[in-house]
Amino acid sequence: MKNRKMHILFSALLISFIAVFSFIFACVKQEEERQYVIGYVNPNPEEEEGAQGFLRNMQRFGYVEGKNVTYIRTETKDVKIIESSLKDMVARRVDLIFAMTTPGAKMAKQATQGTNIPVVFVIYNATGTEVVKSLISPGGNLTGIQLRGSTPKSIEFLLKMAPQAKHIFVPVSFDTGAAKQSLEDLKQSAEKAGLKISVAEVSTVEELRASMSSIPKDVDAIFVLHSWLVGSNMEVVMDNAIKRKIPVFSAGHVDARNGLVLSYAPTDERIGSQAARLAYNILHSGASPSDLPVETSDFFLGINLKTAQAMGINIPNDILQQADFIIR
Amino acid sequence: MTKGEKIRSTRITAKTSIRRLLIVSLTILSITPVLLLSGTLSWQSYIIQLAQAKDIQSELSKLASIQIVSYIHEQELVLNSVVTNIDIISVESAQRQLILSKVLSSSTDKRHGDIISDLVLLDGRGKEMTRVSRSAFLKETDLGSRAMSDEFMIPARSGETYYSPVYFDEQTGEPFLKISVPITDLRTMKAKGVLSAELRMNYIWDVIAHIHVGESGTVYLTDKNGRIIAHPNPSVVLRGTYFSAPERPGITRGLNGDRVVLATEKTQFGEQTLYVVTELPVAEALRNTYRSLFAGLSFLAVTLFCALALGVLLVRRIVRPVESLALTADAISKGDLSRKAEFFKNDETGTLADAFNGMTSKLVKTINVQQRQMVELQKADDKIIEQNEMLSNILNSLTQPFYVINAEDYKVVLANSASRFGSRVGNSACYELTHKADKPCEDPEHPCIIEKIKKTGKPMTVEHIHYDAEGNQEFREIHGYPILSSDGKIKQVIEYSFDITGRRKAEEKIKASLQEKEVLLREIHHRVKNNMQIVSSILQLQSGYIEDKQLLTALRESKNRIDMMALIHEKLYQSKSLSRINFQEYIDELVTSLLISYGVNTEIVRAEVHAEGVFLDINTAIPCGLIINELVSNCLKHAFPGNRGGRIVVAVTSAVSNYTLIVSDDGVGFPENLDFADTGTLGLKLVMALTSQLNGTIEKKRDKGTAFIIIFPELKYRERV
Repeated sequence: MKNRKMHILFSALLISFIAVFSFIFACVKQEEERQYVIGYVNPNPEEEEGAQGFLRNMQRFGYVEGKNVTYIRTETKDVKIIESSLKDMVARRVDLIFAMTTPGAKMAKQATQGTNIPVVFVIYNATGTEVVKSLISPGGNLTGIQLRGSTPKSIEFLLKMAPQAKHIFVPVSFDTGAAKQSLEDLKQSAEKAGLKISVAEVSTVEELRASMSSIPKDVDAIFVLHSWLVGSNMEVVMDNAIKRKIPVFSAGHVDARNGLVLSYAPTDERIGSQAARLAYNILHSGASPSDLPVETSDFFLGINLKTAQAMGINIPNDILQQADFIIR
Repeated sequence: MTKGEKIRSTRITAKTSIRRLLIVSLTILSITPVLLLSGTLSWQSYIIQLAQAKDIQSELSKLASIQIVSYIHEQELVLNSVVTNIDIISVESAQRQLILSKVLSSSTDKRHGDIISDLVLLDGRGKEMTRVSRSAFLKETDLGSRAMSDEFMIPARSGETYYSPVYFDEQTGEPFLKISVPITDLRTMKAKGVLSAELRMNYIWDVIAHIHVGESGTVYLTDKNGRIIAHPNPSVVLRGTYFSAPERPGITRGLNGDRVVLATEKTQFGEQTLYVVTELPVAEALRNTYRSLFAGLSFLAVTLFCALALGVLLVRRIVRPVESLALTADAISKGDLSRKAEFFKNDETGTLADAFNGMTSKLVKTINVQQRQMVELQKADDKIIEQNEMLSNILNSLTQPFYVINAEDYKVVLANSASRFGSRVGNSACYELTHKADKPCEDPEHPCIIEKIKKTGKPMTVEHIHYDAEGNQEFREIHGYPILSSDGKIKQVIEYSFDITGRRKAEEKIKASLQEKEVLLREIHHRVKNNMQIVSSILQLQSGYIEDKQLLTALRESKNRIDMMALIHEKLYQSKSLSRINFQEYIDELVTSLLISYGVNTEIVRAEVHAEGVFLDINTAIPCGLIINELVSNCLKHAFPGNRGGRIVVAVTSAVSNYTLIVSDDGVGFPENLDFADTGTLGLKLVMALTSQLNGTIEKKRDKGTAFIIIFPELKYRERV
């Protein structure tokens, strides 16, 4: 009896010792091998750069696709597919949902209502679209990056580059919530500057092409807003603008490579970096989205000197000095 | 009940068990040095690391502070360069716009983005002359007055650069700081304007984000109210976090509530004070300490495990066998001699168990022997008790005192009831009990028997006068017997006594009676002797009237015979003993009287008597005396005829149970042809008859004379009643 008890005691001691070390080893291993699943919703598939900015910066924060993170990507304009995908993400209890655009953020907000699944969004106007009530205290399970704020300064830059400008042509497709918001901001700034705005609402590429073909003669500049259709068919805009030597400005996103003379807006890299940092704080630090204020994006000035020179536009040095990106 | 419980139920408790003592000792012995060593090293490492961490934190705080100050001063320098190099108040509006736009654009940092978000030129009354903004599109109509604002009033009055408190955008939560530099009229030295810039503090976020504090440490900036205005994580700033950092570096709760090593550096901008705080998680700052501690704890755990394992091993190898032996010993102590110690291994414990079992077997055998001996001893004891009881009964049945006395102190240690010592046995000395004295007997008439036994070492008998309980005197015949110790010394004396008071009195009476009878007997012998002498005298007188020689001879012989018998009676009443006659004296007188009676010249005929030490009773003495009388008379008559001289020897000797009487002479000798047994003479007839009466034999020898040898036993006559 005594012998058996001693065997049991010794075995229990040994097993406990092994168990403790195994537990510690397992915990460490589990921490190292923690797998994350992130839902990715982008109702604007043409807007690829924003997604890449987020993914690149997620890697910078240690979340590498295929290694420790799996993305469930839903990049389609089909709202039903997006809604279905969001339901699936909620059912799978993904660790985080990254939502691009105001519709994407709104659908994610609705789908995750009542759950604790955090949502990080990138939208034009967070409070104006009622995605969150306050930038500082977003509450709920959403936080993200707001892009709004560069339109007035863009008009100022426009006037400095084209002081004679009086009429601005604005092709727009109201396919995003940001389009309307940015148009309103543009109108306010233009009105202040005494500029006339001609808004050409388009719904298709053909309409855009038609609209660009029928730009009024007195138009001094073209201003591109946050619009899927227009943004993804910039070649249509640029073809006509170059033919007419009408400079194209934008407060949407900095992408001077496709011919924009000047864009003053957030960069996808900075947006992705800010969004990835918020995602990192949620995933790694366990922060609640409600405690993470919605950040406003920084704006960067991009100038396509090549296009400007082709159009005979003289860009002042003080503007060039402010430029973050210059394509020569 | 388990075995362990059985053991504990006896004398072994958990506190006193070898198992616990062994494991606790091993654990303490193994843990203590490791604990002390690791504790000391960890503590030293902790002290050093903490000091280093605090120093590093402080240095980093100063560095961050310098960088922040330099960045802010850089903006101040930009503004000052504008107002000192250009008379910006005097230039045209468009030119001012251009200059301020250039300043605004030049305040862009490639890495940190825009620094100045808003730049405004105020005239001497505080009115906005020109304003440029990063985000707002402004027109002339937007210009207003800031005459009552601090950003104008303070630099305008003091002529010094003004730094506003950090303020935050209500919507975005972003922090801002205003720097206003006065534009002084060199002639009047009065402010003719103020150039005020709104600095975005966001750029400092990146400044401090690039200051690395260890791997996971952070640097952040707070205003004097504790609100964080710069942090690597913008969310911390934007959500309006407050943290009141202690001024002295040390370990405290950090911004996230974790324990951190924290250092604060005060930064002064004009009237404004900012605090640069660096914090590093304690886990990282004291990583080496924790590693040392972890290593120490690991060693401790390993040591503890080894100690426990060793303890378990020792328990298995030593304690368990010991417990088993203890269990076995416990069972054996309770009488289970069939119990065997468990045999474990071929080591000392196994040897011990084997020896224990062997010892148990021998113990069983010994106990069996002991039990048998105990039975026998019990029987012997019973017998002793029985004998003691019997002895006690015997002793108590004795009507005479019997007791045992210590030879040293004379204490009576044992006494029978007849001693009548009662409860004083064991407490009193013998002389106190028997002699009513306070010391042993010293009277030579009544010597102490114990002293005598101690001197002689032999049993002794004495007569003492004892006194009974009532003080009555009594004569006691005391018998003492020594009891020797193993070394041969007398340790005790057994005494038993007889009351001889009655006997002593009877003896005295008998003695008195015997003396009386002896007197009477002596008187009788005396009267018999007198009567015989009267007869002898009568015969003597009668012989004077007889002429006949033959008759005369007959009378004389008869007279001699009567004298001989009278002489015997005379000797009897003269001797001390009335029953025995000293034959030497008797024969001497008898022979002398015969020589006288026969008128022998003793010069010629000598007579010798040899009967020393021969005592005969009267029954033998009278016939023997008559024989000597007849034979000596015969010698005197016939052996020495004429004047022949010679010698007559009478000798009586005793041998074993017979007496030999020899009467010899060296005279002429007994005639050869004459048969002495049939001579016809009265004398020889008497000799023959008396010899026969004595149951003796007679023999005659004829060598230089004649010798008669008579051998006879002493006659034993039946006592007459």
